[in-house]
Amino acid sequence: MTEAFELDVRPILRNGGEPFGAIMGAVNALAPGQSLKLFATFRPDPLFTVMAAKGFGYEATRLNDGDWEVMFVPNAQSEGAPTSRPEDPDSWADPIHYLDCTEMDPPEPMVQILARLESMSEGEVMFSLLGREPVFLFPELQVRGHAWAGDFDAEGTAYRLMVRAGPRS
Amino acid sequence: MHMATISRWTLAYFSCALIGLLCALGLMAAGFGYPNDGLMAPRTLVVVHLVTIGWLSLLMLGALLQFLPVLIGRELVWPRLPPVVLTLLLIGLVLLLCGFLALDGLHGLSADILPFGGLILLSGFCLAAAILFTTLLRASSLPLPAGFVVLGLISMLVTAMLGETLASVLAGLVGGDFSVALVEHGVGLHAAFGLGGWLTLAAMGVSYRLVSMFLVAPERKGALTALAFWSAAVALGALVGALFALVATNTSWSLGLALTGIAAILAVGAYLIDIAALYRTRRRATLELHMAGAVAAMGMLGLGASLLTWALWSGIESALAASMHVLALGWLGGLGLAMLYKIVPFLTWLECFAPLMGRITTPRVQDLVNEGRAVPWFVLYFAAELAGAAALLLKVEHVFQLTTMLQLLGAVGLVVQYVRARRLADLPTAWKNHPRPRLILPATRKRSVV
Repeated sequence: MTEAFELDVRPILRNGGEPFGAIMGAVNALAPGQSLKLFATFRPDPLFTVMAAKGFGYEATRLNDGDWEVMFVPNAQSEGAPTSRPEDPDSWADPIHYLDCTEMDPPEPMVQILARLESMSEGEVMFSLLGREPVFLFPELQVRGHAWAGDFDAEGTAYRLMVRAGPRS
Repeated sequence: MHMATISRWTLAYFSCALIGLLCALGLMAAGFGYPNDGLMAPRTLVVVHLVTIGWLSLLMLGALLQFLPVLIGRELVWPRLPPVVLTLLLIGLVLLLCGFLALDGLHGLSADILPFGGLILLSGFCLAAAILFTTLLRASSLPLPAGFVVLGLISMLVTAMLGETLASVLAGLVGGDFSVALVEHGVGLHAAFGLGGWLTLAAMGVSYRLVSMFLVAPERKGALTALAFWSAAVALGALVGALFALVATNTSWSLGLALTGIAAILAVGAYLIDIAALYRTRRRATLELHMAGAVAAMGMLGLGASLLTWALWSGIESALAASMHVLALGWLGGLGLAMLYKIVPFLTWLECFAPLMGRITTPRVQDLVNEGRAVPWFVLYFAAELAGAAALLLKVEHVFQLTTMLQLLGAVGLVVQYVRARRLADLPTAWKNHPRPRLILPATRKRSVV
């Protein structure tokens, strides 16, 4: 396993600064499976919740000088392969592609969505907004190995569709 | 992940239906049936059932097997059964027609096959209803258009059962006062359930969804839609009441029939005004040919309903015949031909180009047809319908045969357009060498396992 990445935010805290940005920057720079060793002047309880949501467990130790060392270890299931599973929309990554099809005449939304999917890598998610449920798109998504989840908004006027790109064929 | 899938058998239904239409028009053009024969003569019954079962019912069932899943966003249950339904209906229809010919005195045929054919038809309709009802039960909610389809399917079953009883009476299997009462009053009910309850209500339901889809207009959910639906339900309920009265007392229940008439007029009126509003709120500026054709068909519904009201009021037989002609071939047949002009290219486009979409430039659906080429055939068909109805009204048989010949020509012209769309014959040159799909039965595509 890769060695833990060390981040000491004590200087920032002592200067009255806010270390959250630095911590998130470090977290995002971690290699898959890599742990984060954090040094702080207090036990950073609020951070534990944030890190738990990102799939990290923690082990907090009080140092002799009264400062704290916290080891954030990625949970076992989040190691290695990405956690996004096609059959579970809750596990999908946040969408990075957006397509507003509300002004398009059918079947243009179908053409546009399929065209955009061709440029996406596996696991990437697209969010699109449509004027109606694209019932004829779904069989084609299935044949091409993409996964989708969708529903109407509260007013029933717009259909919200998330598509998770499948493996490139 | 719910979805609607393309039904493989839709085009087979449509092809058989179109053959039914061409045969019926051909027979009428040759002087077979009304007005050369009586309104209830066996030869007239041959033509009538060729139109209502062979053409309209097959067309409607083919469309429902395709679009009911779209209407409710669920997959069709038992996808292997539609060809069985089609086979049962075709065999039943042929036997029924042979039974009518036997009544007409054709040698070598026994009238006994009439109820036998009716029974096979009934089993086909029941199977179709089972598939469609079970699919409907899977819907999380039923939009009003699907409600129309439910009423239509119930009427379809009543029509088939009543028809089978009539066939048994005509074949002499059932006798007594009941058979006399049934022949006297039951035929009108059979026609009302079939043409009104089944075909018209199902066409209303399907058209609500298709028109809003093709015009890119917001779906109708207002008071007029509800009025159309509930008036139709009341009309149908009163008609069922009249049927029970006939079975129980061997008499006609005129109050129930009057209620049916008033509620039906209300339903048709509300539907036509509602659809007019749907056209006005459309986002697609130019009206494509199939939607213009649908306007003509809906005009025929207004005309046919008015004619029928007048005919029932005055008791004039030729007006009744003309109204039936306008409703069956102008409204339902015209709407069917107009919708086929969109549905056939659309299904062909999906079949041929959906697999390539997003990977290469694909043609648009409207590239598969040449509207300029189809316009004269639609005009001919609808103009011949009006002229034919007038000829029936005025009882000029030879003119009626001539207008029917022209109507047949119009229908043949439109069938050629559907075949051209299927053969990709009107596509721009860029896709000239694109592999053509099979004419009737689409090839299956393997689905990858997600």
